[in-house]
Amino acid sequence: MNFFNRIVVLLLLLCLFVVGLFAFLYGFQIGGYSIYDLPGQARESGFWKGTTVWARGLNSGTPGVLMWVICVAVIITGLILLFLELRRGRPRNVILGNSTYITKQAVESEVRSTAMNGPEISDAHVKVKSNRSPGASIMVDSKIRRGADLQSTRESLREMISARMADIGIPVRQLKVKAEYADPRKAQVRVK
Amino acid sequence: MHDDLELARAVRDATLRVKGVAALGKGKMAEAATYGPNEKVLGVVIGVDAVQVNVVASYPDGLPAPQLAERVRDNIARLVSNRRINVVVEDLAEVRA
Repeated sequence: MNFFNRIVVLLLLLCLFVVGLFAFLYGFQIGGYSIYDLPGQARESGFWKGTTVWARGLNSGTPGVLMWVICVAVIITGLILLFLELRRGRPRNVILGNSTYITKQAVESEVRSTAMNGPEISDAHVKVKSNRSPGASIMVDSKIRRGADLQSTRESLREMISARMADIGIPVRQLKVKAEYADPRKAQVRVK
Repeated sequence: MHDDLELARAVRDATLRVKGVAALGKGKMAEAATYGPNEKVLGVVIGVDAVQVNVVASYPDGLPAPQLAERVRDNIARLVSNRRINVVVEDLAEVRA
């Protein structure tokens, strides 16, 4: 939602900039623009005429199918955005239950060191998301040495991480493990 | 204010006595501390109705984090009376015997 909010604020600021620029030009009568001519210019524009026709159609009670579709789409989109905005954000730390928390960085570091213990693992990137309920969602993107079996390595990695998280007492709600062959030039560990 | 600082010191000392706690944390995003004149107690935040303790858990011999938190909670409960105790495991540190 933060990403969406940023886009909305960016567009809003852009609109304000354009409106402010025109207000400046018209307000100080720069380049032949005069604020007294603005109503007349607006009435002559296609946008004004189109808006008038649309408003008259709506007022006479004969909105077209397209108008209905647009109105319903706008209402549904607004409701979805309102729901997303009002929804409680993710907590900063991973909840373990009963006023106990563990930082995401601690979980990430532990998962990474566990993953790197695997003999076939050359590199591992870990992302941890805290959930609103106790537990963490863990995404592991691992690079394995060429020649190792992808499927079995992925399974063993999953088991190792699950066991380690159980040892520490972190409930895992989702564990996604990706494995692909490493490019030795880019991997952190070339030989084990 | 002075009472808070005294309480924070007592909570810090009691927490550090818990087996499985390697150290107190400092806070990740913002400093977790109780402030007083010329002094701050890192790792303990005394609030009006809650006390937050940031700990660094020791491993591999340490307890699972929820059990460690319970142990910390049991150890400091008598000091903080009715306040809620939030335990944040900030890091896991390897401690060799």
